[in-house]
Amino acid sequence: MKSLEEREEVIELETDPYVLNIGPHHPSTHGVFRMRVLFDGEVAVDVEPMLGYLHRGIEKLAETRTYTQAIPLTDRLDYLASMTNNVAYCMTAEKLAGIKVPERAEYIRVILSELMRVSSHIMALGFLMNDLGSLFTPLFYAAREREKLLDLFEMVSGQRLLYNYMRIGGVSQDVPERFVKKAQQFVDEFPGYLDEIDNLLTENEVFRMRAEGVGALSAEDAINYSCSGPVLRACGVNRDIRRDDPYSIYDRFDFDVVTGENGDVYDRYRVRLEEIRQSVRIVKQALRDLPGGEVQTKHAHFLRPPVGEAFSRIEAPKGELGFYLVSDNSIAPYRFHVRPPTLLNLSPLRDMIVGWKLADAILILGSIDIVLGEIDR
Amino acid sequence: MESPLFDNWWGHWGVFTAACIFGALTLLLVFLWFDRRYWARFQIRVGPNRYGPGGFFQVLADGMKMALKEDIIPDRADKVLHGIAPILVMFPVVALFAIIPYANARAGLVPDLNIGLIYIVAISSVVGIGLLTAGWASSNKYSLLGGMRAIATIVSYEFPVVLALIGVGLMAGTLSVNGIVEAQEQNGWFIFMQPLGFLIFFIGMMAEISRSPFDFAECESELGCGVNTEYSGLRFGIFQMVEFMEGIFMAFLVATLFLGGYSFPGSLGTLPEGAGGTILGIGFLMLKVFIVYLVLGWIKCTMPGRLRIDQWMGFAWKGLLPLAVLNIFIIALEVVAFGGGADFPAWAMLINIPACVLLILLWSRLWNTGGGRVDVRAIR
Repeated sequence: MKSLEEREEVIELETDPYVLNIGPHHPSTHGVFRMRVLFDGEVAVDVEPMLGYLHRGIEKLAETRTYTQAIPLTDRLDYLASMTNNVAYCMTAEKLAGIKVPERAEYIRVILSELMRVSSHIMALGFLMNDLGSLFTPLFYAAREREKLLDLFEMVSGQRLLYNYMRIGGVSQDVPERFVKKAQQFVDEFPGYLDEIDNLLTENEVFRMRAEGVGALSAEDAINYSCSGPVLRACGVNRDIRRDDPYSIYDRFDFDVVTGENGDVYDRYRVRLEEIRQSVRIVKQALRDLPGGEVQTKHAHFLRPPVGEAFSRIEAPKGELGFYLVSDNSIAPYRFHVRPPTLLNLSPLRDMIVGWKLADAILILGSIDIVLGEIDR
Repeated sequence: MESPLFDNWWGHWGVFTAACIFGALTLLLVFLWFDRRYWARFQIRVGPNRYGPGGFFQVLADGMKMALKEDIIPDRADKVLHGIAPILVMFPVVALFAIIPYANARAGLVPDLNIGLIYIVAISSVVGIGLLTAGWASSNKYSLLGGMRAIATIVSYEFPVVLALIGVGLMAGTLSVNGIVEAQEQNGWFIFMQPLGFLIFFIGMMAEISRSPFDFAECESELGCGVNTEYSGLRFGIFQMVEFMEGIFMAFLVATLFLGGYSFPGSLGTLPEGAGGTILGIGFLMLKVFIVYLVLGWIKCTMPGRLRIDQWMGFAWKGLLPLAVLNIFIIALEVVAFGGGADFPAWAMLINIPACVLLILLWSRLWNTGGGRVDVRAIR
């Protein structure tokens, strides 16, 4: 017979941690991301992300196609920001083949990239609010703005999601006459709509209670994990490839690099919101300076770049998007590699989520703004 | 209403039980249709407008779809509990409509029940048992979490709700719901005489009926679908129906307890005898119910998110509970000091409205959400 004290130790209240499988068909995993989370009650103790549900072998597929045929494949990487994927790939191929892009095409690329950034960020904000538990209302207002942008993209490319618009050495066709007018109208009207969203959400008590301090990532960790884009800048690291390593014609435009302080969900939200304003600023300048002329450099139909390799990177909406191409002087790339921003932004997931509750885990995942097409490729 | 049918208890019971059940279901159609169109307007959409005039029969079509779908019971679920959980959730909500006085003390199943408020509190808590049963029996972690959150919410918010109801009872001097309406007819609506109690009751009741954005039983963005994850077909339809019926019931309760029920201020409020007065009373009540329901929908559509579960519990225990206790204290003092006098409503308004503003301001400064990151090593 044990003493009472011994028995007390035995029946001391113990809680069993349990594994909760979040995804791949969970409503808030932004596609088919899956994470297995070890919970103690409501608190996340450990996280195990599982990738690959959207793996289509895009890198391998691209190696069996010509350089031009690979462009539509890049659309399918980050399908919420197809234009910037096109730009990044075409820039790399141009670097490899030594092709110069006409001035007008560069301007069109900048305008469309920045509009794409607006579209991607505004949807990120809408989805973040959904993850917070709102019943789709902010998302619809974000989608309304995106709809106008999709109309603009449809005008230039005929497509609304996967544009396949950029070409090696320029863009596939000149923008129609009315595009410039419509884009000008959009950048004039849009800041008002953005202020509306800003006024409603940024200082909202519920949002601040949920988001401030949640999922904070230190600047050191963010750099060590090789984060980029809004996730990195929210930590206070002043880094933007558009300014630090200017590609295309970004050195001609005047814009600010937005940084946060704490690297939490709230700062990521604020950085995205402010970046939208900066993008609109760039588009305004580019539309003002848009020159005339050719939009496409003549080159051989089947591009055969000299043997060698090239890497180039751009500041995509979600971070640093890089392409690495190796040529063996055939019509298809010998090696086609993508440096996806969201996969690397996702890598500190465990550090961010552990210690927070289930609801926070969803919110943190939403604040990284992942797109599975890019992560799984 | 002096017909023989209504002097016979069983006749009365039969008529009003049928009226409660079918009335609640019909109201559901109207409110649900309106709710969906109204919700769509908030979200710059059109809403369902294809089936029937203005999409009115969309709800019916959805219900029929639910009924015709396969009812899947998970292999590892507790089949008996899984089966009865929707019924456990459904029946208290219908039973709650019994207490509402629709036009006078006799129009309704038991509106003059002398323990009316206790009945409300007791029966409305049974929903929590149904939700927990559903969560537990589904053998799904999401369901279990949803059920646990639902029960935690209901247990925590029961206190502020009950304390706010005590304020109503104190001021009316009775627990009978019809008595409370009559007291408001004499003194003025309780929303003006105890605004703090009204706000506490409103928030607490929204939590108890898991009304979005406090839908911790469902938590769509976090838990998939919460307690109804493993339900399909008609059983899922029942859960959906109960969610909306609870919303309607809450609108009825708020209209009855705080907005004067079937009474109306001014000369319009003197209801004539007979059937005309009954219809007019029901009309007034429905108008108020409709307005409360609009406010509920408004909150649902515009809140940008829900609180975390620990913040939400903290809000009940640290925010609403002390305020509710203070509210009772103030009202009790007023009733002792001015109770029964003709100037009682004036005094109550004069003291309670500033007190409400001051206390809420004070609490918003004092209240701290707490929570935050947990040191996981300490847990292990």
